[in-house]
Amino acid sequence: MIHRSRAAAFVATALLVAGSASAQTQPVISLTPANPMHWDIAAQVGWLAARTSDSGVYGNDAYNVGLGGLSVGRYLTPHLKAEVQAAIHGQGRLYREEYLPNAVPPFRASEHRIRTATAGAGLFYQFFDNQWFHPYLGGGVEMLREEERVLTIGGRLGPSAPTATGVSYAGRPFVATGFKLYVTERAFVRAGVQGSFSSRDTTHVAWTLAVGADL
Amino acid sequence: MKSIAILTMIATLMASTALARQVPQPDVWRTFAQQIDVGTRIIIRLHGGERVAATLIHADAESMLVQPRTRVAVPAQRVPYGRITSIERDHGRGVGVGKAVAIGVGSGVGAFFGIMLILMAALD
Repeated sequence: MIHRSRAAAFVATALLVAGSASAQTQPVISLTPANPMHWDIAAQVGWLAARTSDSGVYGNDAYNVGLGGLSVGRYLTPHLKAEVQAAIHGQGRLYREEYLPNAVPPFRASEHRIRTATAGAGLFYQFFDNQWFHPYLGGGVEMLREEERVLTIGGRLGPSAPTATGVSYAGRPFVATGFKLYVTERAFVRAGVQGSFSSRDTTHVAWTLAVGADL
Repeated sequence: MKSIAILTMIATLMASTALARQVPQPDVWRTFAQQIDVGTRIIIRLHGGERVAATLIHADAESMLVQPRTRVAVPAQRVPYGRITSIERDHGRGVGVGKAVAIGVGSGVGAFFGIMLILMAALD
């Protein structure tokens, strides 16, 4: 009961403080248009640097591909925007070599062809009011679909093994920053960088350039 | 006792002199605003810390009417002199919106692809 009353008091205080702050921060000059835009829609291209977490004994574990995507955002306030985004990435190739102590030959080489796609949602904070240039910061979560085809190369003494294909899904957080530069009242160019994290390391860094509009 | 009285008088005189030198801020900005030509670009700083670029439309005894310079047009607004920390002319230095946009887009796109090329070269 005591906890409940304390919680109620806390909520009431928070509401009062918020209300008071809101009343105090009523601007003398409002820069918000009478009919503000509610939507932000953009198409983007870019470049993805990806690092896989399960590299073989030898070989490379990073690849770089192009990407394309779409994003749709809804302004919750003049500064805060909720956004959903989706992107597809080009096919990356990795070459790996595994050491097999009891096999002849003792090495097995493989080519990994990786194609990924992401879909995510996040919140973005946009600085400045109704200006031509707006830096932003954001973060959220995204779902990664990864399709990996493995072509095992037999080496000198054997033929290539059949290709194995696997599809995996993973959810992970991302952070993003960049800027929007308006070229007209509504149309903008947006440049940004977005990093996605796994539990082990940064796995994807995407540099993007988008064109879009506020609607 | 006599010395205390003298000190008190001196202190009172000094305080009143100091007060007399302080001109109330609203009066300063009223005088200033009324001497600026209509249509002049100005930068207004308010007590809350806001900084607004605007164009002066009209200045009267109580407030001035300004048009904020924004991307999407907003209505002209009255600003009471009592809320103003400072007003200064915005000389603009000759860079218009179009030029600023072109410079911004050019440098942004250039930087973007420059960084991409550097990273590609570094990772290969």
